[in-house]
This record gives sequence, C-alpha cells and structure tokens, in this order.
Amino acid sequence: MLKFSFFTTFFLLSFLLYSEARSEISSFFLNNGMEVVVIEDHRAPIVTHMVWYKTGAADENMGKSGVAHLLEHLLFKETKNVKTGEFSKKVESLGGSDNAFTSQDYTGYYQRVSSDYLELVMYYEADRMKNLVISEKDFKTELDVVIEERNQRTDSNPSALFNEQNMASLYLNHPYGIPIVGWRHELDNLTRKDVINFYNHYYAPNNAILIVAGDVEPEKVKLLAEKFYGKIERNNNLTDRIRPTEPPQIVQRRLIFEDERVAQSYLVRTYIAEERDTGKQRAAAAFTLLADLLGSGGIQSTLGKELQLYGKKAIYTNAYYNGRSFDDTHFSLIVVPSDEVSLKEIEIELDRVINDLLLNGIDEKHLNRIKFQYKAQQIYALDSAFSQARRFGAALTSGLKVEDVLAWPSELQEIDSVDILKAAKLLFKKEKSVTGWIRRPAKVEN
Amino acid sequence: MLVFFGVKPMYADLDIKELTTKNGVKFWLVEERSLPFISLEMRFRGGTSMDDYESRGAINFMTSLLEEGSGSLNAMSFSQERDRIAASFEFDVGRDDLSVSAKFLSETRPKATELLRNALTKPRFDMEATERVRKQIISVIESDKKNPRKIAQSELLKLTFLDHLYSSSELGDKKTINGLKRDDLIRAHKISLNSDRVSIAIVGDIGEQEAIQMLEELLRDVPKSTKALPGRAASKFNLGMKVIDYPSPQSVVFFTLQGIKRTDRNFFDAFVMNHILGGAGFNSRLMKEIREKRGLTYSVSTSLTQYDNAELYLGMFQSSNEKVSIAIDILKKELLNMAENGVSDEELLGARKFLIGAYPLRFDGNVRIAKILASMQFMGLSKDYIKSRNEKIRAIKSSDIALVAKKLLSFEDFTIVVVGKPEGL
Repeated sequence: MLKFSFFTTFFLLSFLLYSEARSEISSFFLNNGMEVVVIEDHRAPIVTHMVWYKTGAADENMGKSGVAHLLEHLLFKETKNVKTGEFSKKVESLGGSDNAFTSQDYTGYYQRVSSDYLELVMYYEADRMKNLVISEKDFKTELDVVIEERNQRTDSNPSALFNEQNMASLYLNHPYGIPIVGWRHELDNLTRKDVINFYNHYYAPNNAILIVAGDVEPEKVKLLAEKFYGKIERNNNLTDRIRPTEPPQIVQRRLIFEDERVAQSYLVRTYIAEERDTGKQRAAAAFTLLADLLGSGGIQSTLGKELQLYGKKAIYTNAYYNGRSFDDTHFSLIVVPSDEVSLKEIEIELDRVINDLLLNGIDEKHLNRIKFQYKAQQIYALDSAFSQARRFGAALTSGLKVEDVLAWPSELQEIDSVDILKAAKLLFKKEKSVTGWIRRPAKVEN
Repeated sequence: MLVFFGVKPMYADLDIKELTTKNGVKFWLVEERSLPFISLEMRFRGGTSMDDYESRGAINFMTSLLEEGSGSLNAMSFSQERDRIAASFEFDVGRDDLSVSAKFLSETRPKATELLRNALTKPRFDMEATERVRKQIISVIESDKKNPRKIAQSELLKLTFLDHLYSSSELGDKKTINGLKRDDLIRAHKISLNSDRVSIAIVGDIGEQEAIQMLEELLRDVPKSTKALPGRAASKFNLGMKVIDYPSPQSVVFFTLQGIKRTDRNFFDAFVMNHILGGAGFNSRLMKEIREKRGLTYSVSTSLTQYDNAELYLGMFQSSNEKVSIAIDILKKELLNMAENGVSDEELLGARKFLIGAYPLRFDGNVRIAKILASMQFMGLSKDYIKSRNEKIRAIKSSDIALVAKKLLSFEDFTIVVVGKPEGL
C-alpha cells in the first residue's frame, strides 16, 4: 500500500508565520486491477464511498449517444440479487444519501453514510458492477425519464442548447462534440441491447476506481475491498481508450444562435486546449492560471478590468478552463455586453484585450494573489472529504495518477508569467477558434 | 446472506459554547483546531422584506455593493486586499434575512476582520460601482422574465400574497432599480444590518477570548435597529390552475398549499409526512408515481417552506407538454390520497429511520456546521435541540400524520401555475 503523507506548508506575507495542514491519502490496487484510494478525515464519523468507471459518454459507439448516461440511471434498478430500488432504500433507511453522475470521461456512483455502514454499501455497489438485470419495462420508463431530463436541462434552456452546438462545432471529429445526455433523435432509437452491451463491456473492476473518504482506516478498507470487489472477475477484452482525434483546425468557425427565450445577448469564444497529462501538467497549469488572470476575481481580472470597469462595455465577463479531461479540453471566454453595445463591437473589444495581453504581458501582482489563493485552497479543500473524493475521482478517470493530483498544487506555484504568456500565444489564434453569438431573433413585422 | 454487526450509535457530539460580547451580542462557538482556518456565519433578520414598496430592490442592490468598496478602499482595492489574504466573504440576502459567510486563514484573522468590518459598516456606494452593479441587476431582472421557472415561481407568489412584499421580486423591477439613489442605499444598509437582530456562529481555529474580541471588533459600529420588522403576510390559497404560455417542449409546474409554522405542535408530523410524499431522494411517493413508474418527469419535490411571516407547502416539477396533464392528475390523486388515508406504518418507519440517521450526517465540515448553528439561532432553537430533535421524530405516530395530512392537503383546487405549452389543460 502506498501511503502519501501530504503536507501543505505555506508562508504568509513574507513573515515566518506558517502552518501545516495534512490529509492522509493511501492508494493501492486489488489483484483484479481495481484501483483503490483512501482519503482519511476523522473529524466526523461519516464516510463517502464512490466507484468511478473509466468510461463516459465519449466512449460510446457512433450513433448510440446517451447510452453511458442511460445506463447510469438503470444501475438503480434490479440485479440478480437485489430488487429495484432496494439499494437506494437501504441507504435512505440509514439516513444516507446516494446519487450518480456521468461525464464525457467517467461514470461515478456514490453513497454518503455513517462510517459504520461502509461494508453494507460496498456489498451493494460491488453487486451492481456485475449482476445488473435490465428489463424491457425499466429500460422504456427510464429512457422516458432521460428524455424529460434532456427536455429540462437542455431543450428548455437556450444557453444549454447553444453549448451543445458550440461543442459540436469545436470538436469536428472527437466524440466530445456529442452531448453526454445524447442527441434527441439517437435517444429515441436506443435499445435495451445497446445498454446491456455497454454494461457488459465496461463495468469491470479493472476499469473502475474505488474511492473511500472520511472516518476510515486504509487497512480496513483494503480488507473490505478485497472481500467485495476483489472477487469480481476482470474483463480482459478492455482495450486502451483511443478515440478519434481532431484534424488541425485551419479556419475559424462562427455560430449565430437565435432563440426567442434569450433575454440577454452574449458572446462565447472557445479554443481547444491541452489537458493535464500524467507526468506532464505544466501546460495545463499555465492555462489554468491564464483563465484565472483573464476571468476570475471580477474587476481585478483582465477582462473585468478592461471591459467592465474601464470601458463600461460589458456587464459580465469570465474565462473557463478545466484541465481534468482524458483528451484535449477547451478554453472559453464569455462576455455579456452592455445594452447599448452590439455583439460585433464587443467582439472587437475582446480581441483588443487579448492582443494587449499578448503585447503587454501579465500583471504580476494579480498573478501572485491568484497563486496564493491556490495555496489557501489546499487548506480549505480539507474541510470536505466529499469534495476531495470527487477531485480524485475526476482526475484518476482522466488518465492522471494519485501522484499527479498531489503534484498539481506545486505545479501551479512553479508557473511564472513567461510560461503563461507562452501558453496564451499558443492558444489565442483566431483560425483555431469558435465564436458564438447568442441573441434573440430580430423582430419580424407581420 | 449478509449480516452486519456492531453498529454503534452516532450522535452529533459538538462542543458548542454560548458566548456574549460586552455589547450583549450572543453567539455560538465551536473550537475546531485541526485545520488552520475560521468559518464565520452571520444572519441578520429582516432581509428584502424590509424594503419599501416604492424602492423595492434597494436591499438586494445594497447587499450586492457590500463587496464593492468600503472604508478607504474602492471596489478594486477591496477585492485585491481580500484576495491577497485568500479570504472569502459572501453576502447574500433572502426574503427574511441578510447573511454573511466568511472564511479566512487563522494567520490572516486581524486583516480579514478589518476588511469585513469595513464591508459591514462602511460601504462606500461609489458611483462607479453603483452604476456597474445597477446594470448587472437589471440584466438579471430581464433574464428572470424569460426563465420559465422564475416566471412560474413569481406568478405563484403573486397569486398567494396579495399586497405583501412576498408577492414581488426581491430584485425589484427596472423602474425601481433605475430610481434608486445613493441615499436609498444608505438607508437600506442602515435598516438591514443591526446588532440586535443578528444570529452568529463561529467554527474553527479560534478560542473563546479571541472569538469575543473578533466579534466586538466586527460589530463595534453596527447600529441597533430603528425600523420595525414587517408583520404577518395576508395570503390566499386554493385558487385553482393558471396557465402561462411559454415556448418550450416542457411545462414547468409550481404549486402551493397553505403550510405550517415551525413552532406549531404538529410541525414534525407534517415534516415526516412531507418526507414521505415529496421529500428528498428517489423514494418519495411522488417520485415513485410520477418518475419511477411512468417516466413523466426527471424530478418532483415538495417542501414545507418557512418565511418569517407566512408558511407555504410548495412543490414543483417539469414534464413534457403532452404529458403534463397526466402528471398533474397523478399529483392531485396522490395529495388527496395522503389527505384521506395518511401513511402506512412501514412508510413511517422508513421515513423515521432516514430522518433520524440523516441528522448527524449534516454536521460535517466547519463551513457546514457554522451554517447550521447560525440557522438554529435564527429559528430560535437552543443548542440542546441537537440532542432532542431525533426524539421528536421518533415519537411521531401514523395517526398524527393522518390528522395533519387531512388538515393540509384536503383541497382539490390548490393553486397550480403551469408555464409552457401544456396539452389538455
């Protein structure tokens, strides 16, 4: 068992005041290839138990979008040993909570219960890794539920509809261009067999990660994991995750999305950007800090200062980048212009701010504040074992190792303004961008 | 067959100290030294219900400006100083309270206290920040008008609370917001943050004396209240269905009945009943009937909503336009079924187990604990409540639930607002 004693030491205001916070992380593999991570937090007798599959929507076969997420729903139905809803009911009778989530790269299931019941939730979670039964009736009803979910989250929301189109335009060939919930016309044609095939192939211990966080001892977790998950057979047919890749982007792409439900016009600019890779996180660290410099901290940020504070051209600005992704991820800029400013004008302003940044460099003081906030975040993060578990799960299913997660905070600290500027120059190339205008359709006179 | 042994009971064993500053402000402290930071929660009673009709939205506007410059610091300098020490201050306002959630590293306590004190007592309301935030608020007001959930919720409140402020948007409208002057914001500030109306909890790396000193420093210039709190809200229920046309494949449904006061002796009966009917999780009756069995919605829930001056029994779900009328029929059937037949002993047992088991699981993490403790004081509960609360749940009988269900749910024409293009309604 590998045990990391993860000390966070930081210095403040150049005085020799310092403090230490510690989180014990242990990690090991079962004989069948299942990875286990234990995060100790003994402040309250509570445990979060999670199983993450290294399979998400981007692993679906062409034409079968939505299968990964629909399967996630069906895991709450019956197995050979357990009746429909019994697991959730059991967790509820303990006062616990449970749920699940699907992304492009992973599918995760969790329960949060009193630490006395770890064994019990493990029994059920291990059971549904192999013994799921999908009846035709459950399949049909749950497909309806998923369509309602799509109606609610995507089709009722113009921003979500735009995001779907935006991703489809950004990724011409890679499956990140296909929505996690599935295209509506493909959902309508999914079959029970599609879901069963997906389940049989991907739900196996050598494709899963167990994360246990809270008031637990790693030795005990190891014994229980061996007992419940250790006896499940591995799937030797699983191959490396190799997905179609993007051709080089040679021309800028533009979207004009019009919907009468849009209240406020806005602009989104998106670029494909490298993600965090194991042993190679520097580029992602630079993009992370670049996004913070441009978008976080309100009017301190470059976009906020130039467009909201000085220029009064925008009422809201932000920048997003998330490096936890199996394949190339993306970097987005968002600007909501003031009433009297057109989308065309705000795009010119946005380009001006980006060019100025590339020419004039970075505000070092702002960068130092951002880096210090990341140091503090290492302490604040220890307040929630649940969030820590999610952080590890998302990273480990995106091709990263425990060592990479632990190294990430210092990787961020080692990046300087030269690295960030270099990353920005690489990123901000108009021919490699997608620009979206979201607005209400012009009024048509009858 | 699996057998699980040796389950020890779990109690929320928090060492809560009740302390008082020399100005007479009471607060609760939990010393938790394992992480070097402090979490501070303050809830000032009043909230947006302290607005005047003609300047509706002033208190929300003022709250948004608390982080936009105070004392000698303008908006930019304030946010830089705050971020330089990696402190986090959140100011939020609701219908009955203005809440402040602060989090800062132990070593930065003096600086964090100074910044927060200035934000609470010396906001500048500079013209630059005021005009910038004014535009943002108007943008949100305009967006809400296009958001089907907001449309439904706001219509429901309008129907229910005739001329009380609860019936109108806390943000105000474009006209009131554009009419607000600096003096209105100063007045809003004066009536919203008062030292005799605050509930406070501190959790983290700090001792008794330090905590007292910190609060004395923070509240030194916070005035006592001058404006009376608003009175009971007149309300109307059981107004039947109202449909609002909206272009979407799905209809949003909000409904309400009269709720029950937290201090009512039957509140806990209603609380357990709600859990069984439409409370959290996958196993409520409404989730089972509308989602699990028939696939008519993604999620449906109900809640016993407590305002200071009114109580609602609120619920909501979304369903395809062509299916929503079936879903509403089932909803009505289930509500009447509960009113007429109450719950089974098995359901009661299940709900009891969940509610009793879930309670200690809430006390996890400094920030979460601080929020709970501030809320408890805000609701007028004593710290002993933590130990006695589960006893109240355990004592409830299915006959108690049957009585309260009959009282709350026997109304076929309860108020429903549907926003969408529903078929067959």
